[in-house]
Amino acid sequence: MRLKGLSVAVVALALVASGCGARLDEKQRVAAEAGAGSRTASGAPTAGSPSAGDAATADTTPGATPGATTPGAASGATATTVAGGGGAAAACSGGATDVGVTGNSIQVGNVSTLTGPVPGLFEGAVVGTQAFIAYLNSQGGICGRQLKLKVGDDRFDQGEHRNQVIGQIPQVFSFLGSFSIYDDGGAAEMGQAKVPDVGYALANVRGKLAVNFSPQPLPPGWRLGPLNYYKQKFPDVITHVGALVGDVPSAIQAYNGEAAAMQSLGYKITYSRRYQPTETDFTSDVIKMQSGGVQMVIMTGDVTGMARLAKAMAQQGFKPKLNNMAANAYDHRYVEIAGAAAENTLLDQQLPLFAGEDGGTVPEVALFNQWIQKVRPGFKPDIFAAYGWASGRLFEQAARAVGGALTRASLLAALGKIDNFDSNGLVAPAGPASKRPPTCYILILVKGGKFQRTDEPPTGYRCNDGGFFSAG
Amino acid sequence: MHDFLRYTVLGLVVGSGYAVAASGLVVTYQTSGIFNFAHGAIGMFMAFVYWKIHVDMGVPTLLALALVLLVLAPLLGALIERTMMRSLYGASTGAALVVTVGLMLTLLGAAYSFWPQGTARILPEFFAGSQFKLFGLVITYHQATVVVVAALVALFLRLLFYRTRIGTAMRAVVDDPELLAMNGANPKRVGQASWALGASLASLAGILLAPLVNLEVLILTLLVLNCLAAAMLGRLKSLPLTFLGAILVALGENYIVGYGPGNVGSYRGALPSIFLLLVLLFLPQARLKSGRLVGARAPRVPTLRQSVISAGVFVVVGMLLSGQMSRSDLATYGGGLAVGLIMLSLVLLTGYGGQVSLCQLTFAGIGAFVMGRYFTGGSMLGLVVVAIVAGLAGFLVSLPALRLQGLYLALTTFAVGRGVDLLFFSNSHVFGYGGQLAVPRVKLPGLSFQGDRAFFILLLVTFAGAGVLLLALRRGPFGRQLAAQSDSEAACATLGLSLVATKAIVFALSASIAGVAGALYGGLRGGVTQNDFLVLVSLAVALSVYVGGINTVTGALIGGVFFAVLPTIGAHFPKLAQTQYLGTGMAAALIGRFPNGIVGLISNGVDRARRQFAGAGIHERAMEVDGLAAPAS
Amino acid sequence: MPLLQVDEVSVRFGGVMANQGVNLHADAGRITGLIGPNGAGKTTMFNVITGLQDPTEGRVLVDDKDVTALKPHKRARLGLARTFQRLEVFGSLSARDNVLVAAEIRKRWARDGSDPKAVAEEVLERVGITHVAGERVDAMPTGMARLVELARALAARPRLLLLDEPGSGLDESETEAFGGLLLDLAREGLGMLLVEHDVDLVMRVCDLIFVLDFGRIIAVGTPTEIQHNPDVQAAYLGAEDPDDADHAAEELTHS
Repeated sequence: MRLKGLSVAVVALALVASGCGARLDEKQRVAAEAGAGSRTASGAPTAGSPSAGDAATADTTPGATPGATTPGAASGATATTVAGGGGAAAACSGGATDVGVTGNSIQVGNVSTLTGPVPGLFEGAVVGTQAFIAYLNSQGGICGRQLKLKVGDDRFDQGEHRNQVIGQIPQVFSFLGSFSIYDDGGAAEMGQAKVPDVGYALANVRGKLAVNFSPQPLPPGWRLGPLNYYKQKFPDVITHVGALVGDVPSAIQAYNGEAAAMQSLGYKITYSRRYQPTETDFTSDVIKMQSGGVQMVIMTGDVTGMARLAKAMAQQGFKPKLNNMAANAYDHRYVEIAGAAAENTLLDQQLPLFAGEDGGTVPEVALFNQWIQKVRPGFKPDIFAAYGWASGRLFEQAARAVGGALTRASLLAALGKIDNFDSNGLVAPAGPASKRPPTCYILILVKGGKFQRTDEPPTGYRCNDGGFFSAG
Repeated sequence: MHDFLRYTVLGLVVGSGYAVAASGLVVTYQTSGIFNFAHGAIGMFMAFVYWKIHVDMGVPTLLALALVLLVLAPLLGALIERTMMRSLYGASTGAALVVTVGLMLTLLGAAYSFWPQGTARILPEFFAGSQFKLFGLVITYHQATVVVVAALVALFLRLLFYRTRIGTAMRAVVDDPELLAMNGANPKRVGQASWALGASLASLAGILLAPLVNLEVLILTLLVLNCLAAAMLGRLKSLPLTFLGAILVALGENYIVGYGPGNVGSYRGALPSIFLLLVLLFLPQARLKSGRLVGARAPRVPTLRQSVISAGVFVVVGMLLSGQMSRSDLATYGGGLAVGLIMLSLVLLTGYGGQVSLCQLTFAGIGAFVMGRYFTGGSMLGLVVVAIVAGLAGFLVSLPALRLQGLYLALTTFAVGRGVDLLFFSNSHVFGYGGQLAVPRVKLPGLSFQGDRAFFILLLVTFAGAGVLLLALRRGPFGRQLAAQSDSEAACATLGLSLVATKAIVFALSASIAGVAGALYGGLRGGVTQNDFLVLVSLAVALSVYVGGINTVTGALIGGVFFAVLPTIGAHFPKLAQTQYLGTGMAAALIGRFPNGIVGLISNGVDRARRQFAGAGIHERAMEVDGLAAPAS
Repeated sequence: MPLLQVDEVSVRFGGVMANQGVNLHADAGRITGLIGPNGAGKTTMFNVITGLQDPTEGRVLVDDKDVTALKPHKRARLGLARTFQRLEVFGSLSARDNVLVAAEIRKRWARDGSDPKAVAEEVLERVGITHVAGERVDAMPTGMARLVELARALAARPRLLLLDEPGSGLDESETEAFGGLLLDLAREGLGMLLVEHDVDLVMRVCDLIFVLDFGRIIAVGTPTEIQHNPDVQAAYLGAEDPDDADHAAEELTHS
């Protein structure tokens, strides 16, 4: 048993949330929108299948889909899940065409951090993937093949992650939805074996692999859209920013990207401190920020830490104009723990309100939540689950394009053509094939103890506020 | 000025919380002679129980408090005393630490099982919603309650220990249970009362702090680490000084954030460890203790012939098995061997030398770092340099330790380990971007060990070789000297032995071995991360080697395999994922009963069987016949 | 010139005065006794002499040099050795190894070219425990273990040996032999300071006796003088241990 990585465990969440956002520069965004227009509605191979319902949301002719029409929001706001170039559905006959594939099943693998000093760290990723697979199988699978998921636990250990990956490579057709702090372990082996890896990559090494296709690629850097928004809305605030950063490589990395992006826009971070995850009291930081005239607070850390900071701020009567916690504060625990202190927290994230609030306007959100409950009753979906589901969607799209003659190589080729993907609205559109991060985002405000969208658009994303700042 | 007052008042408030927690720790030590690493865990567990009773089941506050503090916590304390602590009276420092750390892990596992993470459980503050301002700082009534309770606890303890019979008996039972028994008190009862009181105090701290800190398993358990420094200032006996220490630590943390130039505020988390280290270094030198510890019977040391043969058999069997192992298994068991090598270094330092080190992984980390950073080619010279550098580090660590013994020595190593975690390993210049460092596999001229099986065999040979060398050392003059020093430092001093030199040498040697093990471990896995060598892992490794058997080479092997394999068992039975904590915890907690671990169990069993076969009354000399009692140990 | 001199030594523990103004000395080739009731402060004196305890006042001199500030191991290297009232044997080692390790330790600081193994055998033979040399000491009866401790101290080739109740646990004949051994050693030039409850033994072997009571020296003299000293009789009759007092009183008044 290893008591490792306590600090990493507790702050690990920071990484994801902050990471959940990638950038795009303007040119690429325009191209994406153009591409969106070229896809065919009925070109979706699923047209005739019971999953037709999804096809509806897969479509986006500008104005045709909800949320795409508000000014300021890009018209290509909801990209299609049927990527431009996906082509028509391929023929569906085929037997055991590759490793892990039989006439009626596809074995996919997943190595995530499930146990360790903080049990269940990225369990959501597995649950999300399982939920999608259950849904997909209920629709008949892909070309009559049902998906089976093999889950490996890396127990918060890089060496173990590598072991698990190596162990699964000869057994699975593809990896799906793996989520781990140590996902660089085994990356080289995946690349060498040319095994498709559809999943959200945290480590750069994995993200850069030719075989990795992330539902939301994340190169180092930060999304400029929200930063431009804040700059415009609260101009006098951005020169007095206070930042708390979890002292964990992933959080530091994310923060560095954000800070660089901020500085490029003229923000001034007047106070910053790295904190240990075992620290329990942020009051002295609050005092420092209060007397220092900080007007905007950002924090890259774990949910409970952010809740603690919010409480300390409220208690000392420190009300900065902008309390901009990291996106992973979009979590029921944040409002439960912080209570009234969470009020007016403003977040930006590159997914819709996937925990259910957007279920009415984004059918995929409702579907996602429905199947999560089927697979794990009572489970409250988190961002990892959303990425798990979205990974499943990406896999499905590519696999359908290949059809019956399903091989690793053909899947990789199909994936390589999907460069405008948004999981039917569950994630902001991005380009898995070219590893192009998304630039669209939504704003979330905490009001009355609940998360709600704020400012425009009421549905869809804001896409015109800025691109992506690349940081080395 | 205004801010200064705010930081100061904040320090007093937060410090009072530390003080309540620390005072319970001191009380347990004073009344049982055992330093309870699980103090925070007990508090955490009872805080969850209180939540269950008060928030989940709706029992009114006062009744719930009375139930937890006056009934359930004392029961838990008495149970702990009865099952684990009673056999620890007079035991070695290492055994006592291992048992309490084992208890901590057991409680962690139990808490995770009963209250799975993922939902937020809120423990409301007392007098929630009410607050007031003092010198510009807003304080809630709950926080004020903590200060008041701290003061009341201090008063209560003073009265208890100096004005009541039971209190005096509690203080006496540590020094002289026989004398106490002669005066009519029952030492066992008194012992139970002491642990009951300690558990109650821990629970009080847990219930008071959980609303402020969040009801979280790990955070609450580790809070005790911040209290160590405070408890040490009071030398684990003076409550007033403990309180002062707690306040000082809290004040220091705030001032660092408030006034530290540049990035210094980020090191706030390291302050309790630095404070602890300073306090330990400036403690007045303790007298050499005389009076024997109730020692565990150390097993016989095998002859050169026996150990070489055992080693040979071990390597051959290992090689044969390795042909059947999957890559994954090779990695797992190879890891076990590498960790086993680290455990060998502990057998040398703690098992033979009687010095408890809680930072062995720190040296392993230094070894991996040197190899990965400076010898990317994997040359053997790298291992040599690693041994030297790690040895030097061990020597440096031993310097403050030279004046200290037993528990204080152990805590010093703990503080050093924690300090290195926070200041060195987590520094991005050390472990690079992403906190990872690639480590090459060592190669001999003409021989590469890139293949997994080849490297596994290298590890087999290295472990076996190290084991044989260690046993040879044990059989020789230095080994005798270590055993002698471990048995009685006072006697050694009166024979003209400079204890200081021996301590430094054995620390350096054991650190060297750990460093090399770290470099090999890194090579096995291709790279290491900063989290591989945290001081908490040192604790886990120490636990495992005690479970295997701290004073034998076989024990190190069993410990290494145990450490590497136990998590994989948990992986095969996801429902039993908590077995990692529970399994290791409970095994370690039994060390009090079985101080020589699994090896001890086996050898005792064999001895007993032999005695039965050979008839009663046999002279002990018969057991000298062959070293089969403990294989390769 | 006395080998050892204790000069006005006082020791205070907290509020308790364990020794007060103690003066005593021991010579080479002589056996000096230190007796007194339980709790009189004898072991504390030993601790002060060997350096395990700092005196509150006073000095300890060896060969006329002030060693009060010296660490225990340094004093040992001047030729002091001791046994302990509560056994401090190396329990996990055999009797032979106990003695051997002492000889090895000595070899390192004395650099006299001695062969530790030979020294160990010789000492074991001398003390008469060769037949149990291979046994672990923590498995031995107390009396035997005390002999091991004595042998261990002898292996350090001391000039002055402090013996703290070496005879307890020995029966009549063993005590007899033990006394003979001490006398032999004295004849060979070894100085000894002996703390003992066995009054017979003390009277038989000692040349000079110091009597401690409540931390002070109340009498000094030859065995005969001590036996007839009324202060001593009073001290022993008022002793805590009734058996001790009876027996002692008997011895004192009837010899």
